[in-house]
Formats: sequence, structure tokens, C-alpha cells
Amino acid sequence: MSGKDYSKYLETLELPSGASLSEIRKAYQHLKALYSRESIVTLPIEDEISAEVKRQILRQIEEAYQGLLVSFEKEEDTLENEMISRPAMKNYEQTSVELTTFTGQALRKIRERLNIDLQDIALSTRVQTQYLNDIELENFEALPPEAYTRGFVISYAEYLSLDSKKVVDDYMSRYSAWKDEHEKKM
Amino acid sequence: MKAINERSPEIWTIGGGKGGTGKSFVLSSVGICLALQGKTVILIDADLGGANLHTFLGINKPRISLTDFFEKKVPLPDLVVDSGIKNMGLLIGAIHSLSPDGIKYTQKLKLFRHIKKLNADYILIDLGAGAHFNTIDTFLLADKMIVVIIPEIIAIENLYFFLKNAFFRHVINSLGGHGLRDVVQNAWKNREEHDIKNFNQLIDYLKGLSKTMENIINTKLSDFRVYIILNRINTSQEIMIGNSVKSICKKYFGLNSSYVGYIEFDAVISRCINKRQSYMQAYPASRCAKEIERLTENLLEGRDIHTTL
Repeated sequence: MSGKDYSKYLETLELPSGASLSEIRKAYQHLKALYSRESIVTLPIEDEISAEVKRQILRQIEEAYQGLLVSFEKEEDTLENEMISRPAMKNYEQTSVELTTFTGQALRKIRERLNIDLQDIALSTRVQTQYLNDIELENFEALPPEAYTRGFVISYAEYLSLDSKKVVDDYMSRYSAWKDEHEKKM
Repeated sequence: MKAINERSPEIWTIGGGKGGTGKSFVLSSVGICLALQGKTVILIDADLGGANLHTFLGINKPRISLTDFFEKKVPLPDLVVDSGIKNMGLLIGAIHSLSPDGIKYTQKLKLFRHIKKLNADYILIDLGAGAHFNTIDTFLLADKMIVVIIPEIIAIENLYFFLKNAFFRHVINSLGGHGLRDVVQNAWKNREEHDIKNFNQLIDYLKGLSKTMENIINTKLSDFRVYIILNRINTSQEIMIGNSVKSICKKYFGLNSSYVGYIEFDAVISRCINKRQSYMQAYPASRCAKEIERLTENLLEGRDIHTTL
């Protein structure tokens, strides 16, 4: 990818030069939501903008994001040769699609591969960092009642762009098993 | 404060369409921030329908106003009164004798020439609500055009309306020199004929008229920039509304903007205003005061706030 493309992609995602992968991902998610959902920002001009224009903007956002991801993959490949063998971003996303077991540990790995901080997730989802950490540690005792924990796991999974239903079903099955065990002891 | 001509001040105007978004509060607070940094500031209340900046500063309504400039030819520097804050003067618009539509464009240009000769580092002009061309023309004469919105659909709707109007005035005012003054109005008047339904279609139509028009529009688009302040937010998620509005302005209308900052809701602000107390001075360590300081810095630097999304 040329430097010109790189600048153009960053401009499309409204980011300054030197943006991190985590910032790129967040900007992408923000813009994608902005141009595909209704909000107080878009409703006032809903009738002025044609569906075609919206689709075109979403296409540009998608293209910019994918283009920028490729540039990061290349960087990772260079790293790979120098350091330990690490799967490229794309492989990782592939893996996460195929995954069926989402333990706290697996979730943490995905998050770390995406270069996302717990604080970032906390800021966006309004779930306290401590709880997010407990989710990754499967520290069920420290987590709030089931309905809340379920909601937290969904927010967490959505933030990582994972299939939240798949994640929460798998994750909560272990939570329920622990809860049954815990109640038996009481 | 004696205001005599020395060098040209930087002029900032605050507008934004809807009333009640906190424009006067923001303007007076930003002015205080600048004054506390040792910069000389003159606040001008050009809200000709309802000048009330003095209330935000906790002082009585000055007896002299812009009316004296127009009617009695009093020199502008003599109309600047003490604001009660060091380094900051206040000049108010007329309240009764001057109707908002009463000043002609030429008078306004004359006023602006005199404003530019005032001796201050920064001149901040409060425009009041509305998208009347009179308000917009004053808005456009600034070095920095600031808009204040709140996280409500009406405020955002009015902002888009205001910006679209402002941009067309910006184009129209420059077309006079090319002998093309009526092109935009005519296009809009005959919009049905040209199948123009909205801002973008009008822009496209104008660009398609001639190479000259296309160049003018493109130049005007590139030198048009507004600075967005998001006031009265209730949750940290609402911070992103500023980013969203900025994005919409660019991607839908091609208009440049910078999102310089936000101010959270604080009930103490209304209480201060009602007590005619300056919030920035009464609560200098509050979160809002810090947010205002931060956005003032961003305005000075002309940069965006760094949001963590």
C-alpha cells in the first residue's frame, strides 16, 4: 500500500497520522455505527441523504479499515520474523470465527491480539475494569448476579466484534455449572 | 480599560442556530480563561435582540452601547466598559433602539473595521440565536467561527441548518466580486426546474455551471471551518456526539470542522447565572472549569480534542 493510500484511509476514518491499531478499530466501529444506525446526529438529515450515498460512505469506511489492517499485518509479519511466530491478524479473526469455546482465557487472548486495553472496553461499555478482569479470570465469585454478568459478557464480546450470542452461551454454561456447584455446598 | 489601536486582534464569533445552548455562558467563560492567561480580551454582545452578557459576568447593564456608535458616532474604544475581570472589557449591543434588521451590510462592515482596530489580543463576539443572514454575515467575518450545541436533536438539526446557510452566505459574499452575486439565489429560486432538493444537490449544480464556479465553491469549502463545542452533556458516551457531528458535516456536506471540546452538565452553572456570579471565578477548580480551560487551549491551537472514543 502506498503512503498516499495510507493517508487517505486515515482521513476516511478521521484519524491523525500515527494512529494505533486500537484507535483504528475504535474509529471504524464508531463510524460504522454512525452511518448504519439512526441517532440524534443523523435523524435531522435523514431525508436529505440518499441510501446510495450512505452505502458509498460505508463502503469507503470498510475499504479504509481493511486497507489499514493490511498495513498492520505487514508490520506483524516483520515482527514475526524477528521474534516469536505469531499468527497474522487475519488468521486470528478467522480463528475467532471458528472458535466455539470462549473461556475467559480465550477471550483475553483475542483481546490482546487486537491490541485492546480493558480500560478501552470499560470506557465504551460502562462495565467496570475490575469486572472485565474477573470475566477473563473466570473469577465467578467476584462477578455480580447472573443477569448482570450475562450483560457484561455480551458487551465485552460485542466490543471485540465477536458473535456475542455464541460467546455468552458458552461462557454462561461454565458460570451456571459453578453456580450449581456453589449452591450445593451452601 | 483603555482600548486604542495598536495591532489587529483575533476575532472569534459564537453562533449556532438554536437559543439556549449556552452560547453566552461558553463565550464569557472562554473570555475569562483567556484573560486569566494574561491575554487582553474584549467581549462584544451582538445579540441585538437580547443582550445579556453582563449578567454572566455579574455586572450591571452598561449604559453605553453600540447604538451610541451608530447614532452618536461615539468612537468604539470609548464604549468598552470594565467587565469586572482583569484584562477583559465588555461592549454591548443595543437593546431597544436598534432592531436586529436595522443595520445594513455596509454599516456592519464599518463596525467590523472599527472592531478590528480595538486594542486587544482577542475579541469574542456573541451572536445570539438564529440563522438570519445578518447574524450569519457577522459570524463569517471572524477569524474563528465557533458553534455551541447540546446533545439534543433540535440543537443538532438547527446547527446543520445554520452551517448550510452560513456556507452559502460565504459563497454569495465572495461572488459579488465576480459579478455572480445572484447565481446561488437564482439556482435556489428555480430549484424545481433544476431538480435541486437539498444542500448537496445545490452544491453539485453550482459546481456544474462553470469551471470558475467550481473553483470558487472548492476554495470556499476549503477555507470554511467551524469549531464545535458540545455543551451540557450528561454521560461520557455523549462526548462522542461531537465526533459524530463533525463526521456528518464532512462526509455528508463536505464542510470542515474541529471538535474542540465538551462541557458536562452542572446544575451549579444555572445557579451562578441566577445569582449573577461568574462560574469560572466562583468554581475555578470544578470539572466544568477544567473542561472549559481545555477547550480554550484547543481553540487557541486550532486543534481537536483527543477523545478516546
